[in-house]
Amino acid sequence: MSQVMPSIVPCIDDEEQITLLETVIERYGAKESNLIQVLHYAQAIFGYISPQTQLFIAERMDIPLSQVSGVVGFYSFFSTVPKGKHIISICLGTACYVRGGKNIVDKLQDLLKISVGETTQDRLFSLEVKRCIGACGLAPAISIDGTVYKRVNPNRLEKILAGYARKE
Amino acid sequence: MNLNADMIIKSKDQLLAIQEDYMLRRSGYEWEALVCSGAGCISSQCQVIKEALEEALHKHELEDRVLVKVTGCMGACDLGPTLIIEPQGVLYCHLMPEQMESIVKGHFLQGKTVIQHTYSDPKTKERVPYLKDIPFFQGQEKLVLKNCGQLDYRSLDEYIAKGGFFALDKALHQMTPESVIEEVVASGLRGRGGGGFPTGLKWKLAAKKEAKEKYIICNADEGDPGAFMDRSLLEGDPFNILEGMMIAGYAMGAQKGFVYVRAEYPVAIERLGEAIEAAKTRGLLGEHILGSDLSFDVEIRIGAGAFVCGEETALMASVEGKRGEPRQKPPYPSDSGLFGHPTVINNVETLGNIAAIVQQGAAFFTKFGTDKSKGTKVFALAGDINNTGLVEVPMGRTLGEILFDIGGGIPRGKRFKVAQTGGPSGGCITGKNLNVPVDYESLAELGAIMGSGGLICMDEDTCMVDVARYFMEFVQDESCGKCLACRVGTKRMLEILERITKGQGKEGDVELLQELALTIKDTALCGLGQTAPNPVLSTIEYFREEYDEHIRDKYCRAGVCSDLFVSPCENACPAHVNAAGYIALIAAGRPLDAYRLVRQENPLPSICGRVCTHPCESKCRRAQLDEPIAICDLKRYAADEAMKHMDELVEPVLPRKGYSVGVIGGGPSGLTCAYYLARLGYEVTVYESHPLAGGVLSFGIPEYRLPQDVIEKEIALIRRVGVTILTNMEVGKDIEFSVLRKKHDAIYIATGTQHAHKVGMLGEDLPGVYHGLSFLRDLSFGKEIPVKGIVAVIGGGNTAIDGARVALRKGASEVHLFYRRSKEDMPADAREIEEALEEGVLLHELASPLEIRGQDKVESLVYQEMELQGFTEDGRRKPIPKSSEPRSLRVDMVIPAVSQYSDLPFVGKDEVEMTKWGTFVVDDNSLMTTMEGVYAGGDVVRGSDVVIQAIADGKKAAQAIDMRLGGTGTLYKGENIEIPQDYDDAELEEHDRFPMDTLSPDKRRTNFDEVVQRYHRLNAMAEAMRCLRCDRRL
Amino acid sequence: MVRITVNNRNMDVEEGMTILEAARENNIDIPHLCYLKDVHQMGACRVCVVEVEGMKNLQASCITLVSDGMVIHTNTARVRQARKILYELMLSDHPKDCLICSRNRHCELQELGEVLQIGETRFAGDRSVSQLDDTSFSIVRDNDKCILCRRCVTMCHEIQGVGILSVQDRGFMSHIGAGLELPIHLTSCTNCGQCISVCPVGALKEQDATQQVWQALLDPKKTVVVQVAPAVRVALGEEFGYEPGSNVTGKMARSLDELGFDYIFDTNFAADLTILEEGTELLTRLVNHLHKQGTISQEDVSRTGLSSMKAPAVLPMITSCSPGWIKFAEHTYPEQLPHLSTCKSPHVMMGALVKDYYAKKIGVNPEDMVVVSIMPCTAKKYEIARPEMQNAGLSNVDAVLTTRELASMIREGGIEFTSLDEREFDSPLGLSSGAADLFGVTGGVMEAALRTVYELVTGREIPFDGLRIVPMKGLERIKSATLVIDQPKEEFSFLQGVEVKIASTSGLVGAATVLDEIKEGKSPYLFIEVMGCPGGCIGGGGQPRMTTDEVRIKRMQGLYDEDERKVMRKSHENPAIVRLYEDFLDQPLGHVSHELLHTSYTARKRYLDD
Repeated sequence: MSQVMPSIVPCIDDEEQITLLETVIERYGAKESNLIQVLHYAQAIFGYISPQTQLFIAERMDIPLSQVSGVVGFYSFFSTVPKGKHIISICLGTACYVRGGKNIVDKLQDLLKISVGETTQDRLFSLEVKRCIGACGLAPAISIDGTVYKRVNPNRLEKILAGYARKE
Repeated sequence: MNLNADMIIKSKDQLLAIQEDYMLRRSGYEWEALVCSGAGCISSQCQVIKEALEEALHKHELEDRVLVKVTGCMGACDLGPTLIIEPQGVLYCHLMPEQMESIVKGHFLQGKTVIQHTYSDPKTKERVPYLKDIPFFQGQEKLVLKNCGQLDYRSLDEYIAKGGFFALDKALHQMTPESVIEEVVASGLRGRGGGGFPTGLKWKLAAKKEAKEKYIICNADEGDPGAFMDRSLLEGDPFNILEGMMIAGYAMGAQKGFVYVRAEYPVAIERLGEAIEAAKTRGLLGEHILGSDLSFDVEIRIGAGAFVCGEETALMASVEGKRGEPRQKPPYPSDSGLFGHPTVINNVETLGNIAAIVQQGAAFFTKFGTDKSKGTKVFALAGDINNTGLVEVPMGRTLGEILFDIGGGIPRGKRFKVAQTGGPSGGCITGKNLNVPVDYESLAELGAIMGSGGLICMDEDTCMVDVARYFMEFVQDESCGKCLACRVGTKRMLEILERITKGQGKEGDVELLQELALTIKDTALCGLGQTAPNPVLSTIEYFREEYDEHIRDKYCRAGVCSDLFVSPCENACPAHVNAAGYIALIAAGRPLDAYRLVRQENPLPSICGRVCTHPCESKCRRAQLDEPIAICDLKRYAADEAMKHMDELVEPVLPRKGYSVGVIGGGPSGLTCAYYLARLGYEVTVYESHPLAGGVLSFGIPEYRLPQDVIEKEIALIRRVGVTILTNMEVGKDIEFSVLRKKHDAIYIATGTQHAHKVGMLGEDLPGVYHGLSFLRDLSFGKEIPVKGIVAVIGGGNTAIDGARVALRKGASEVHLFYRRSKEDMPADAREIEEALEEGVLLHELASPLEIRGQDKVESLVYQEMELQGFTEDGRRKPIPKSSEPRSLRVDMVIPAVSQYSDLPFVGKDEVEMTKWGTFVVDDNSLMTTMEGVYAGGDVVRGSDVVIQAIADGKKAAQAIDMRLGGTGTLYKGENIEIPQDYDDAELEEHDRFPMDTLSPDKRRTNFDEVVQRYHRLNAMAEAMRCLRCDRRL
Repeated sequence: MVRITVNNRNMDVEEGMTILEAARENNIDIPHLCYLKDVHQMGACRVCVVEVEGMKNLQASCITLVSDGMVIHTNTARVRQARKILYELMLSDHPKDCLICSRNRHCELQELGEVLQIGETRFAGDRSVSQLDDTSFSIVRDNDKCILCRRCVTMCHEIQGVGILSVQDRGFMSHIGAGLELPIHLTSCTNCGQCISVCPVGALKEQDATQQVWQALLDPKKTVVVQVAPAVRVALGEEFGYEPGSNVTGKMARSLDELGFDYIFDTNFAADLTILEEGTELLTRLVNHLHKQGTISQEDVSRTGLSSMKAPAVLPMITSCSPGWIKFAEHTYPEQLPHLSTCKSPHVMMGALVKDYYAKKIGVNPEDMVVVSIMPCTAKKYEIARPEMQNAGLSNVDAVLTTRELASMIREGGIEFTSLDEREFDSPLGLSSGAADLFGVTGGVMEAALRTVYELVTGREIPFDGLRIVPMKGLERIKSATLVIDQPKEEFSFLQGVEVKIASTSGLVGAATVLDEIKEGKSPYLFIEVMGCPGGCIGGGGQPRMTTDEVRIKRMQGLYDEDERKVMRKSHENPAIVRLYEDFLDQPLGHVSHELLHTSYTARKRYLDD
């Protein structure tokens, strides 16, 4: 029998954040139907939904962990890994796709030296692909921390990124 | 001051009081300034615009005279940020904060429209200041979107002032739930989310069901890529949606509503949340609404990124906090829905129609639309289209009208290829159906669906296999995984499609895809799975040949599947010349190597550098940045340099093979075939009937475009590899075809088209009528043709332009060019057209010649003026005769230049199979005719086509002949030329093309000197450096 | 009733039935895979699709209800083509190494393949990959083989209510897991094995003990003692073609002999012993409870003769022979553990006796003894590894084989089961009463205990026809009964007229219900029997697949028949038990019992508590 011990430490450090999450659960009530809304708050509080957070929610809401984890894994909006300070979302909706969204993915992966779904070593940028951010009129589009950049030219990406790096 | 801000609204009288109060306050202002704050404009920093506007108003003490309102989306997303000023109805667009000062001063203080910040028509380049005059807005009919972009989405009072909540009041106090449902049934409203199920019927089913609890869910999980109308409605007119839900709740007996919004729409969530709060505060949500017995509450449920949640059973699972997995229907939601209770799920846009239907009656609504599809539909225009954004049109508008009249057509002069509706569940609408009225039924008939209204336009640069792959990737990624058919089926389909786009497709893959697709459609559990194969089936149905090209020829005509080519330009070239490669060599200062590289694929670089139609440039990615690379001109530069060093151009030839090949016709196709065969070691003889080799290059293209010595130099290089060219040797006259067949082991016929087609109009036989190609040929062989007075040329191709310019040079006083379509549709090279116009050729576009009149010679040309109506397959307008009387122009000479045909007197018509157009029937792969060992290519097979295509055929024939005679079919191209790979992205700056030197119109109009002179070495190198080097692989 | 037409045949069927059920009832079989009668209807695999006239798409017959006038075709070209492609798709994401799979020739996917006669698999492509989870003492999960039918999920959530297994991720990445990719030993998995018992393929199986047992059997230094649980004897036959419920005790005992076990005992013996220990414990708790309440005096207590017994005054008392249930309680209701009887489960009692009492008796060093239990249960594999199940540094039981594993050993040993002659268990630890047989069914322990306790208190037989406590019979989730004590023996006179409420439940959803009642202080019961698996041990996770309700009822009947066949039907009448107390144990709950036969429990967290 192989013993697989996962690297989960069953504690969350930041008490303030936990208190906040507890308040949310209390306000919504520990009902299964509120799980997704609670997860949204958890992600807003911690930036992501760690295994610890999932355990915490499972216990507090008395919902099986497998179910909590199953819901987290089902919805692409939920992230189980920490994100970079700036989140670059490349839209690959149809409009953006036909207008060269793929080139933008290639270029950003190249510039940041990470793949989609990853975070740079300095934790500055995370790269993700979004289905459609509703900016089809402005395709191809990316959004960085919610700011939409429209009609993005792959060759101008470096400049855009530099703007964020400079602010640090 | 708003006195009513805290008033609890419990009656119609209070609604009226608020309305009156708002109007009173409103009347204190002279202007309204509407700042669009739709998603698109937010991303264009509309907030800053608003602040700058307010600052400027403050500065000029105009705050009390101008009411600034922040509105939802106006629809014209690519004009943002925008500002509309009422009551004038002026639209200012593409605004910058620093412009606000001048707009405020100009518009409000001086009372003048500040024209330079108004809308500029991309075609006419003229300013169109008034909203009502802009084509994008002209074709629309706003019922659902009437408030979007018009009212302040935050203001409940303004919503009431515009008639809001009066419908609810009417329903509650003047109608029974049954009569509300009847009204909705009578309106014919159908679900706008895609399915098109009659809304009234849905309500009725749920209303009939006895239950303690019932729910209404507003589905705002707008997941289709390309669709964003629901978002705009929630952001721009949230109270309207709430009112629709409340009316629905009253009608079906529900007391609770959920709005299920995608998490990707934070702004919509925020604004809707504020609207719900406002409605609660004012008593419009809660108990005893408007003094009635209705209690209703609304809660927002935020989705979390799962496309399948648009499916209603999955959506309900998600609202219940579970994985959004669909379940079997029946039971339908109206029987057992959310938490097991009867539930109605309506799309946002559907609910957006309710208040108007109830308030104004079903008859108002049925005025719009078609027989079975009533009302309007909002579409999100996206993709390769000039005016992207939201448009609302009555059902039944044609797709062409939506895309081209409202949407403004395709950017950069590209051709329309296909429109996609219904997202990943939908299908393609090809050009054949641009004139079909858009409604639920007609789209379904075409194998597409209405969907939620995403309308994505795709141009000729779209690869349909890749589009299918994209959609399949989407659904595969979004498959919930519950049922096998979708979970594994879509994955396998995607894998097959990926294989095809990577050039690893196998014969039978398309059939396998179809087989899988049908099973998935037939067996998947939910709507997502059942429709997932649609894009694949639809693209196979309409674009099967593209699949076959990918699989069989490893060729992607659109230049998208990058595993199949070196670069888009190389891919676009019929002869597959490595353009990026020779451009890199030019940039590196190695023009001779550049020339050699071209000759590996095309033995006529110097000629092509002058006359090629350069399809490569139309696919150049640099065009997305500024202008495409001048690929053709750079080739000419390399060739010009090489011609200075002809001695250095030694091309090795393989040892003699002992076979001989005869080539009939010394045009570009025959010469190409001969050249490559000779290099492979064959003994090749070319039989040319004219005194000069070169075919149409020699006699069909005027000297000022292609000097004879250029042709001769390049032909000399072909002779140098051992090709024998016999001129004045007409097969069938000077030598019998049967002799050639005995003499040679294989024969390639490339005799081109030498005869001009008649136009088929009255008076074509009158003296003074000279057909285009004959005109050019006779002149080039030295025949004297008197040209004087007024000359009319008929046609829009290069022969017509050449005819016109030669006529001018030969002494015509006026040259009129008649073309039945518009100028932008002329097939001739744009530069040639411009040069002709510069030289003084007079163009009559949309003018279709009817008859040539005259007694014993040409006297006048009668023509009909045309107008454009409807659409052809590639999105061009169809010219149809205007109702006006035909017009007439006095002329002395007419040169019809419409098309050419070939004649093959030397081959017996019964010996070989021909098409009805008199061209050879050949095998697609080998170009062999039905006569063993006899091949044919170029125009003699295709009809009039371009030089580079003839060259490509010559190569193809050479390969096939080599295989026939025991070779491998691989052409011998000499030593490998190393292409520089260094490239610096950082250097990239926008820069237009570097120009070539040309003679001024004055200096060239009267002679045959070459118009385009040369590329300066520095300009050539600089131009070459603009190349983005799409051939590089990281 | 509604009238439907299937393949041009009219038939009248019950409204509310699915097409699949209706067709089967009329002898038309529709190939299917994920569907499992009484358990799982979800339409995940789509294999059972049929054509229904008037419907655009094919319908999954396992979830589509019949309606009047429905015209159905189950075998058209369209249906056959769909089935074929679906099966090909299924195989494209399945390892095709059937020959080395534990389910070879017992696999539903394989059987379906045989039915469909598919000759090709054209869809090569990516395969789901996963890590083998063999960290549990009981259950091995090999997700590579999983076909995502989700029967296990239904079992784990809806039948057992523990919710350890759910679908994780989505789309092609979907897989069954415990969440956070945790190995199941770090969850509150009860090891009940119900997931295994419904798995159609080799994705879920028990942790194999056969190799360990073979090794012991082949080791000349070892004395290998085997015991068999009651539920095994009415199910083992199924592996060899017998009808469910057939009693194969004699052949089973013979086969164990043939396999080389040195002593063949019956867990039934320990079941009788359990009844005495547990019955006494119940009385003691009751008396202590009454005393604590002040209802009876210390004198009253002394008179019962129970004053020297150690048992808490906590009521209701709940049975403790189902290790899945024990683990469930430890994780989920840690604060309620004092309600659990302190009795070890019967086979562990047996193990303890064998290694102490019997080893001495036959003069074998306990260290050279190997005790093997043949059990219908996978949780027993976990149970024997608990530190509490040791005495003198030795595990009470060394290996647990499930019914299925025993069958595979019999096959591997080349034993022709059906033609074996019968054999008795060895004595003295092979003798048992009919009451002991009832341990294998839900309500049975209750019935057995009451037969003894009632007699202890009143001196008379329990007043039921044929000693059968009918309300305890059957498959309902929670069964309860009330017993009025009439004319007790003098020392229990304070119990005159007392209404005793009892309950039994099987399946952990029922367990949660009764525990919630206790938690809320609303439980009316004195004594509750809880079995982890639906139907009790006859439906255990180690029993031959598939266990449907129909099969459960047959197995149950097999044990009831066995009980009724026996002359000796009350545990306290078992002479071997009586002798054991005389020779060795002295008295129930006595000092030796306490050491060897009783245990304690551990409060556990829900997760990450191994």
